[in-house]
Amino acid sequence: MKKAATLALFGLLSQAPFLSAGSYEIEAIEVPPYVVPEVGGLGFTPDGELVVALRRHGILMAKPSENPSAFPWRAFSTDSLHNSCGIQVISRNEVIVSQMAELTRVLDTDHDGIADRYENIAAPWGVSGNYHETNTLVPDEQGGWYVSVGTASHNGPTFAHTRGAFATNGRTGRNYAAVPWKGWILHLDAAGNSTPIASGFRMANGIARDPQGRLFATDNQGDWKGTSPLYHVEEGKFYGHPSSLVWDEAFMENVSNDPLQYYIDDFEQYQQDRTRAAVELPHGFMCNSPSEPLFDTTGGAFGPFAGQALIGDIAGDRILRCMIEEVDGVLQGAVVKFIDGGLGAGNNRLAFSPDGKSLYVGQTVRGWAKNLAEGLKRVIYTGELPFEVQNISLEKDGFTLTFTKPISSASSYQLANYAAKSYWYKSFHAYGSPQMDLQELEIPKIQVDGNTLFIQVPQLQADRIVELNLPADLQAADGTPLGQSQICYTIRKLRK
Amino acid sequence: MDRSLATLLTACSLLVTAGFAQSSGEKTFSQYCASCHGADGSGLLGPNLTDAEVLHGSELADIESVVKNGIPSKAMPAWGSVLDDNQIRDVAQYVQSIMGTNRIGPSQLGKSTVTPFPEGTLGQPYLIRTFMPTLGLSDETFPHHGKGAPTPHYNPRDASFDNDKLDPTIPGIPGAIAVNFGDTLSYCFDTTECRLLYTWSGPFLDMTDYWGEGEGGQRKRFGYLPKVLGPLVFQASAAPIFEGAPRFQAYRKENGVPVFEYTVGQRTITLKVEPTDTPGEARCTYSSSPATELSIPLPDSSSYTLSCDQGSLAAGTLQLSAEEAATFTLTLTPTPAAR
Repeated sequence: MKKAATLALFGLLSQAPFLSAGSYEIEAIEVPPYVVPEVGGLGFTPDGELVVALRRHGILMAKPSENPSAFPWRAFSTDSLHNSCGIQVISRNEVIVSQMAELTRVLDTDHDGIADRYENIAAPWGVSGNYHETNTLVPDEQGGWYVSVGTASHNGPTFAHTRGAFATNGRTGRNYAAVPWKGWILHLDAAGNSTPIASGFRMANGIARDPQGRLFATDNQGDWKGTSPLYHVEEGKFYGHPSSLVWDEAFMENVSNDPLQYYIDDFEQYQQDRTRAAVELPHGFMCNSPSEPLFDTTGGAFGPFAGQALIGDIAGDRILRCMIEEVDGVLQGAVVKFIDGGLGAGNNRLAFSPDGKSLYVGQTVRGWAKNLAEGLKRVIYTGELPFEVQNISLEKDGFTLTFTKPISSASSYQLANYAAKSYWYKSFHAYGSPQMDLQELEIPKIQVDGNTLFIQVPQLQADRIVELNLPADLQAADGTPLGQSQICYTIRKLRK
Repeated sequence: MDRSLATLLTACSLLVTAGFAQSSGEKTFSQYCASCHGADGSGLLGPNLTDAEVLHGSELADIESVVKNGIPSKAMPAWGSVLDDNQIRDVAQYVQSIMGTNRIGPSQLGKSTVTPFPEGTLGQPYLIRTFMPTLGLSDETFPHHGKGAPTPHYNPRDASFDNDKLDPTIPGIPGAIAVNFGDTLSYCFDTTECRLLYTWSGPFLDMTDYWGEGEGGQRKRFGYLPKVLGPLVFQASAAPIFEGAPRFQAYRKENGVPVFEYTVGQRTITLKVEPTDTPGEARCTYSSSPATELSIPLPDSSSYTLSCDQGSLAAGTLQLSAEEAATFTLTLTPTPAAR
């Protein structure tokens, strides 16, 4: 959800399409001519049917075929739901959808293949009438959900009659929270009872739980987001976008009844109060508009990155991969490109096929892109192991990188071909941030041992990103060239 | 392609198909089948029926059986509870008459059929959840909404507020549902106030401001409000039929026709809005439980009249006893001027 100008610039700068040589293939899935494939939700039924929720149509289902042009599509629902941007698939007869005004249970009660009942599970958030307020969800695995409630944009108005109370101090700002719970993540139990979990989100268009059950959300670069983050979301914390605090009674009573102005006026307090990202996704060259994180739960069926988070980029022709570790009690880690080119932009929703060998990618770029990239793609793992950084771990004086294959020592020992720099992004009222205090970092030593590479970087500091650039000609011992050579590690805590 | 051209082309293709006289089977087809199989039978959501053979048997009895019982695994509805046996036979004969004409449908052409002018039919009404315009409904129609207000314009570049320049509010309905039965009837139901807000006939909605032109995608307008295309018949007045705090519960589909379920205070209400043979006329069947006496003011409107299958008229109001209020049908009939 970015400016067209940013996208156009990005298009000029982007590199030629790259796919990790021979390891992943991309196919475009043909959809029926009666829909625009603006994909808001993707999932699979327990019996293996792909479920696609569309932002301006209903819900399609099809059992995937090998031929991407021959999916046997059927319309589970032809009702045009209001910007369905989150789904949970329960069965071929039951799909949960988060739409603008409501969390809805869509049911086929007579099992004839067509939905015939649409129940309002809950609608704890308001609707201001602004186009930007889409919502997305992740199941809590106990019958309930976490719902990320999007804010409004100053590029659109609000209505004279709003759903939910209207707050003037929430209406101001670039992205804003004029009605309840915009910019929050809510928990809804199975009965629809709602509890606010965390505040300070701008447009958290992706929410997920990792295999350990921890909650994560991406957010979009803009006002109060210097660059796009992946947050580890914990109850009671504030993630940095002030407008949402209008709906925090304690803040309004005890701190300020004008949270936007309060943090504009006191940046130091802001830095103390906000919780930072587990992984920051640098703007411009890494990701401009992250969407749904999907943790690789395929156990190796989709390649060597089990347990890691894949994140689609709405603004870029790209899927990212995040490697997360715990350091001194906080989650932090690095981002690297995973698929770079060949997909098109608009990568909004991700879902693994039941066999884990394919990643389905639902696309939508309504509104911003010059060249619309709506559609449905799949990325198939061929089984050919790529040569990539499989993991990265912070050390006291550098980083240990583990590769998917043994490293060729001949290609790795040119110390001059390694580069590291560090910078930070300033989150404040203005839109985005340049790289602040950019420093080239000295690399006195590297050390290769089989699959691992230690890169010594003595001048590490907390609350900064370290960008590592590996030699472009680094190879595996078997001659496979390195796929992605740029890794950005977000240091929240130094290793003690 | 704009809507009038699309309609013209559809009309032409129908004329070419049938000459000027529409058979009973063709009429049923255009009412109930065309939304999925295409106006000319060349397929949309459902398969092309103009091939030499159709999927589930080409004999008359096979086709009748498919129409009557449906094919659940392919999402073909069972029409046995909607159409009588004569209608099913007629429509099956019509399908046989177009078999072998080998028309090229959008699936074969690989062309999108998506437009910003969505439409339903009598047999397959179209439902969309969307922002809708208030169309001049009074503020008193929205007592359970928040009160939006103009706010000082914010300049994100320097984080300043301009108290002389206000961001205005616009007249929209945040939680609306709009339904279309073809040109016969359209209506707007509000899930926040839980009541019917307005009805119209003729063309349905122009979604261009929300969806963009053609296949859409490009953001077009600041407000994202669809345009209501046909003339209004009914517009809600300030007082709702049922007094109390509303909560929307669900809608279900009865043969494709939405039935809204909601509570107002302690009462559970259902509402089904259906077209009649009179264009623009809406038959609104309510149930309420526990039922109490109702007093419904007769409209002071030049565009519609209200009648009821129950109750009595007194002093400009329709009076329903508790017993009568358990289930009653209000018919909203356009005046000749509004047709």
